[in-house]
Order: sequence, then structure tokens, then C-alpha cells
Amino acid sequence: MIDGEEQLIRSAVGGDSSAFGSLYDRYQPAIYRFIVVKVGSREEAEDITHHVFLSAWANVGSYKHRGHPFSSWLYQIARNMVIDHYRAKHDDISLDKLDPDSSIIPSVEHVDVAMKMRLEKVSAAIAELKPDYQDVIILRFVEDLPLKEVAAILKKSEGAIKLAQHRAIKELKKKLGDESLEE
Amino acid sequence: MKLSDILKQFKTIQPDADYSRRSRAEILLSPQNERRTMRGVFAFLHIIETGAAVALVAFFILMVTRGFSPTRSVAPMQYAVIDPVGLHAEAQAIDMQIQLADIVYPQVTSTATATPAASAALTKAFATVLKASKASSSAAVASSTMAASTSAPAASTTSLSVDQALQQLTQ
Repeated sequence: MIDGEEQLIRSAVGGDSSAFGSLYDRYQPAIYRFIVVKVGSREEAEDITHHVFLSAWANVGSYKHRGHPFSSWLYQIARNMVIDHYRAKHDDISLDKLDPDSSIIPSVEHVDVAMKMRLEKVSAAIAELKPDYQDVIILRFVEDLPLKEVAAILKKSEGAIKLAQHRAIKELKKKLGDESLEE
Repeated sequence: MKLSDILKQFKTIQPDADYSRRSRAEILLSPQNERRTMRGVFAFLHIIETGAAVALVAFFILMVTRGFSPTRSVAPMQYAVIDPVGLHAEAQAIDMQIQLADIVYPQVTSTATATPAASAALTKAFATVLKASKASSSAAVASSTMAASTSAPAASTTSLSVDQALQQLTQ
């Protein structure tokens, strides 16, 4: 846990809005990234991220520290919100259906055009993966979270996460069809 | 290029600053009253739930340790009041009194028919005991007994103690 986070959480649980504001500043970018890579649209990601933190603020009073970081709780809310979003939408994500103006790639900073094109391709491939594989790839390789924390967020064992990680990467490489990529 | 390196590039994605500011302000201005009320309700329900769980576990432990007997589990207090040892001792004491009475009467009748002297002594002793125990009614009982044994040569109404009467009986 980050220094001072425990005190911030305690204050937020007690209803201190400024403490929750600090937690928002700390975790909102990561939660937004997690959502935007999954849904592949900036506008939708902004809307879902807003609802995630709205729900977190409404329910922070019932939050109980169970030895996992506060972010684990936020990631769980985000996962559920994305699932609800897809249920409501009843729509498949594909490159053809994506609005080019809403693509996530312009928000990737400090990269050249070639890399942006590659990221676009990878982003589309991730969107075609199973939700569990998407979660493992984003949390393990984008956010660089430890196995233990990913296991806590996805409510699975560390062994199951290792296996899912291996299968997800294999599946992603297959979808990209690029043999030059190393694992 | 390694796939993991490409994936790491996604970490540079940042939300729009204006959006973040607006979203933050909206969230923190949202009402909190409902949240606090619900927290109180859930806390109360949690206490009820915990109490019920403890009571249920205690009941099952009681059932297991007392051998699933409904009469023992449902009404243990009725059995706790009764002292079986005391009852047994009391019952034995009653039996002993009955046995003594059974022993005495055959002896009286047998001695009365056997020898007139012994019968007279026994009658005397019996009359004395009756006098001591029953003040009012003993006179009538004793006189009737004496009348029945007037044929005995040594009959008299001198008072004797219980020990003396028993001694005479043994003689």
C-alpha cells in the first residue's frame, strides 16, 4: 500500500470527500486505461470510468480492507461496469464498427506513427479476446501488476492467472498473425 | 519487437484533463445521506446475522454432545431438579421400615403361641412402647392387649424402657 493511503481510505470511508478526491486522482488514470483498452472507445471509457468512481464514492462506506490494495476494489467495480455496458449494448466490437474519432490511440503520447499503427492493431486484437484474457493482459502487461494482486482482482488463484496469461498471450499473437513478435 | 514492450506503450494513455476535472467535481458533489442510512441498516442486519449464526452453532453443539435425545435436550431442567441418589436412599429407607414391621409381627405371634411366659413379657414390652409413642390412644390399646393376655401368670403394667423391653425379648 502506498504511503498515507491507509489514512486516506479511512477518511474516505468516514465520508471525507477530499480524501476520496485524492484517491480519485491517484487511481483514475489506471482505471480509465483498463476500461479504454477493453472497450476500445474513449467516450465510452470516460462514461464508464465516471460511473465506476461514482459507485465507489457511494459505496466506500461499506469498504473493508482485506489485505489487498484499494485499487483491487476499484478494478472489480470497473470489470462489473464493463460487463454491464456490454450487456446493455449487445454489440460486438470490431474495427469496422469503431468510430475513428473515438479511437484510443490518439491519447497515447510520445510515440511515432509506426508505433501508433502497431498499437491500433494490437488494441483491435485485444478487443477480440475473451474478457478474462483481456483483463489478464491489461493488468499484467499494461499496468504491470503482480500476480497476487491480479488474482485478487479477478478472484482466481495465482496458478490460474499464470495459465490464463500464457493462453491470452498465445491467443493474442495468433490474432495478430505476426510471427516477428516475441513473447 | 517484443509483444510485452508494445503492450507497455498502452500505459502512456491518459484521460483528458478537462474530463477528469469535471468528473471529479460531479462525483464529490453527489449526495451521501442515502449511503449513511444504508450503512446503518446493513450494520444492524450484520449483527442479527452474526447472532443467529452463533445461536445455531450453539444449538447444534448441544444436540451433538447430548446425543440427539429430544427429551434430554428440550427439558433438561426437569431432570436436574430430581436427585436420583437421594431418591434411591429414601426408597431404601422405606423398604427397611416395612421389613422391620414384617419381622416383628411374626415374632410376636410365634412367641405368644410358643410359651406363655415369653408371651407375657412380650405383651408387657409392646404395651410400654405403645404408651410412650401414643399418649392418648395407647391406654385403650394397652388395656385391650392386657385383657387378651390375662391368662399369663406374670402379667403386669409396669413401665419399661425400649432397651429393657428388647432385653426381655431376647431372654
